[in-house]
Amino acid sequence: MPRALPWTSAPTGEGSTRRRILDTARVLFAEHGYPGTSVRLIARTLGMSDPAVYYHFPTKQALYRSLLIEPEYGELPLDRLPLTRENLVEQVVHLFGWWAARPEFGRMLLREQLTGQEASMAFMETSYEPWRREVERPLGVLLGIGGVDASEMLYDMMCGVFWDGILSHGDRFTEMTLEDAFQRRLRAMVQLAIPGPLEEEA
Amino acid sequence: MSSPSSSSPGRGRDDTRRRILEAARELFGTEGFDCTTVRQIASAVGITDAALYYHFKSKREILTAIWDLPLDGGVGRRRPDGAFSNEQLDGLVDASLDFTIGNDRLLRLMAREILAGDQTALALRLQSRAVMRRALRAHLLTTHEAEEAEIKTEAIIALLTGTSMKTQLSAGPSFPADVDVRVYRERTRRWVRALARLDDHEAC
Repeated sequence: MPRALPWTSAPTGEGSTRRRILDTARVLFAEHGYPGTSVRLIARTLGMSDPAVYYHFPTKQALYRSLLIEPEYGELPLDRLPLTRENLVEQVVHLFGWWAARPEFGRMLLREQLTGQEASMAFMETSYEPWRREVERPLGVLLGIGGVDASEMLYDMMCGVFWDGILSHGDRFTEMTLEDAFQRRLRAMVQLAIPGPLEEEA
Repeated sequence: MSSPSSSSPGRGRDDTRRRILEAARELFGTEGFDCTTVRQIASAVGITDAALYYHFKSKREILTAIWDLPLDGGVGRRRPDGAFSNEQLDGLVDASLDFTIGNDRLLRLMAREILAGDQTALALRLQSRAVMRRALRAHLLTTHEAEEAEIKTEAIIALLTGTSMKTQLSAGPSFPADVDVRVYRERTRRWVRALARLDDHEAC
């Protein structure tokens, strides 16, 4: 089993001002919701003036939209490994790791999706795109019968793991996902969700 | 659900209280707790603010009373009966879906309040999930070993959570009215059957 987990490295690099504004805003939006977070609050939390924030983002909405980035999954297991059932499991676990490292992003999104906020609803579609590319296609090739249905089921299950994790444990969820027991269970769950005979554990 | 206003004063009081709670659950669930005013709730019920304050001292007190409302349906009373079959599994899935559909506003409110840091809401969610988890595990243990039952339970719970939340979120406040419940139910049953792999298991 690979020891280096993809989401143990810090997700953000050196903080430019723009970066710092985004990082702080994400946390505040997650804590207080979009309506409850003003540009003033963001500026004050950073020890900046309002105009300094407006210099980088013309409106609160523009700032929020800048947070809705398509996930960058980096190098994926299937970029270097042959397509097998086992490696596809690793691929799914890797994608999940991107989300597991960002509970505050998930909480921010879910809060607004529950209110039906347009930008966050549209993001549900956006975030499925990389999944289609990185999981649905290989799954289709592996199964030889088109993997759309199985891919959607797997996606919903992973969403469930993530939503349940952030609702039940908040930001502590990241830490929990790094535990061996969680990792083992997650892989076993993904195995179950991929159609076809299960591989015996070595 | 709607009953004509009662003539006896005692029942009238309970009836108003119930109507306040139902209106508040609807408004909190769609608009959010913070964005809903006592005035909105009162006018949805068709009473004055003062009349509402007679029943509840604050908006927070209404929310606390909502958490005490009984939930519609669920899997609580289902006990395993012989070896776990796909038909029994469908029954559990149906109970879970009916629970989601029947309590949509409350579940939405619960999620929103949990994200806003409400510990009571979190405790309630964990409690209702524990009931589902126990029921699934008990059924799986009729044919599975402990560890396998555990993994399948978690996988099924995650799938039910993901698929129902996604359906709820996508439909917004028009859930469940604008969702083809038959299609939703068929798909969920099929997926959970695929995940549980009960047929594979019989061979062992």
